Amino acid sequence: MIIIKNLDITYPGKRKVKAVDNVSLEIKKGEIFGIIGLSGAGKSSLLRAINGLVRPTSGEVWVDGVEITRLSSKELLSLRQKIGMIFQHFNLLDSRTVFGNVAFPLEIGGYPRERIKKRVMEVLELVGLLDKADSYPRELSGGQKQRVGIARAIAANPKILLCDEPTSALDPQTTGQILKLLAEINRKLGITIVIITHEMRVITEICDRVAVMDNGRVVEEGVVTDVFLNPWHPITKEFVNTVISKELPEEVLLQARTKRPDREVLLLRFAGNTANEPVVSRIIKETGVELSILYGNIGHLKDVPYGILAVEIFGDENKRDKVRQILHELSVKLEVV
Amino acid sequence: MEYWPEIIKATYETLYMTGVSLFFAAVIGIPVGVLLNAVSNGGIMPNPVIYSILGSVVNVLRSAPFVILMLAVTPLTRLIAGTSIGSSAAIVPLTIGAAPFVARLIEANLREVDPGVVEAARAMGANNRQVIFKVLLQEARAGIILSLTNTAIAIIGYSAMAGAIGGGGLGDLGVRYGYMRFQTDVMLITVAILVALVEIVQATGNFLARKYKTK
Repeated sequence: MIIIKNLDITYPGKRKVKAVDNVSLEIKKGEIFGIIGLSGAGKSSLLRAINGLVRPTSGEVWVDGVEITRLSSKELLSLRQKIGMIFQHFNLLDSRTVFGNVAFPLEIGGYPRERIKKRVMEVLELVGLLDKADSYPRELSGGQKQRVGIARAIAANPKILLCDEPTSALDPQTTGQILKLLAEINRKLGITIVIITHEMRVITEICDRVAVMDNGRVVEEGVVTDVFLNPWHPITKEFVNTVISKELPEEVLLQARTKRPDREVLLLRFAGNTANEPVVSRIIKETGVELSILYGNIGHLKDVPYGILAVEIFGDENKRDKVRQILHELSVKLEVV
Repeated sequence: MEYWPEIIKATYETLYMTGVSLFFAAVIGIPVGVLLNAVSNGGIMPNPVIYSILGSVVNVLRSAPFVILMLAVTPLTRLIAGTSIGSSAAIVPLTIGAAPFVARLIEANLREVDPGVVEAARAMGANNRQVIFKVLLQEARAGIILSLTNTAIAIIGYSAMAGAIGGGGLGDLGVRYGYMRFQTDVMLITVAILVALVEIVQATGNFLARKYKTK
């Protein structure tokens, strides 16, 4: 759906700023793709290269089979009508009602009046704001404003929705609601969604795949569960730590360091179906080891359950090898602490 | 008092000069203001060359004292109005004096529009014309109303000076009777009417700005 090849974006000026540095990405049709990074990492420029709001210095951007950096300004305008965008600060037109805001992209697209009215009501119903059609943005809460932003962005039936820090100005509760709405839109309408954010929560709750950006480069990329459970880049680890602390508590580490021949501390990480299986009881039953749980953390990544568990296993070398075998069979990732 | 007919006539002349000048100043000044904003740094089509040329013209016209401007444009006045004296003739220098003022105010009004909203419109595929008419002028409308209100009040003040070229109006009446003939009562009445006019214009402007407020 979106292919980015060797993209460079350098802003001219006295101090040349290389915002995006040789980035290549492929975003698949129908997925929710997250780009996470600290402010200044270049994610905002990268997102704007997808709808041509920022012209890249070099490299290619393919959207639905069209290389957009080669389009004329006029062709670019009609392409943008097929790409929705929402913003951190909503960017609604204060002079227009909710209805008027949602109608805006349809007016730009030259839709007839009757169709505009019908379509606006449809999308307002979808975002749950039918009763606010005649309100002005100043009368709405932050969450409601973002709903209007979303309605406006999908009004013209875009294939792609670009989200620029969509929840960064919202409280945690409203963030959850907006993320749910985005996931619902993705599921119901099949719109490909690209989200940039600095909140790990956005990635873990709704994204299928993620790219981590640092200093203009993509430093880590992959399926969210993989990146989340096995981060290797320091930046990624920091982001993961904001949602779950994978760092073991001091006492656990202390206990693990005092090595003894008849016991060891293992760190287990599992995701998907394994998370639903009675892993621990199977180990105990099949191998006869004794086991105590030192630390645990379980949750969901989008719809995928995951768990991180630190266990201390008491038993001889033989039994412990058997434990490893079972864990391997269950495709549980394993680390000796 | 036997001066009422003259006072009424002068009031009418002031309203006429102000109204027509304001109209033409807006017709000229708003597009120039839009253009200034568009080509300014951070505008929708930045162009430093056009901006500095246009900006200089506006500045020169704005810095010329009105009395001098009025005399300097006499040939142009005769060309447009067909005469160089009278209320209609005064409209030409009043317009020329007020239009650059309007342009700068409008430029500033448009600069107040949130760049994020303009970006959103661009992201939806709006072209420059649509950004100007559907976004910038709409979002800035309350500020534009207040700018035109201020311009109207400034024109009322300048129109008093227009008496110098026989433009008539309340200012002229006040000077002729009050200052030259020591008829304090006529002068006070003309001043009172001018104050009332300014108050009415300001109140109307405030009312409209509140009605069309966006924030």
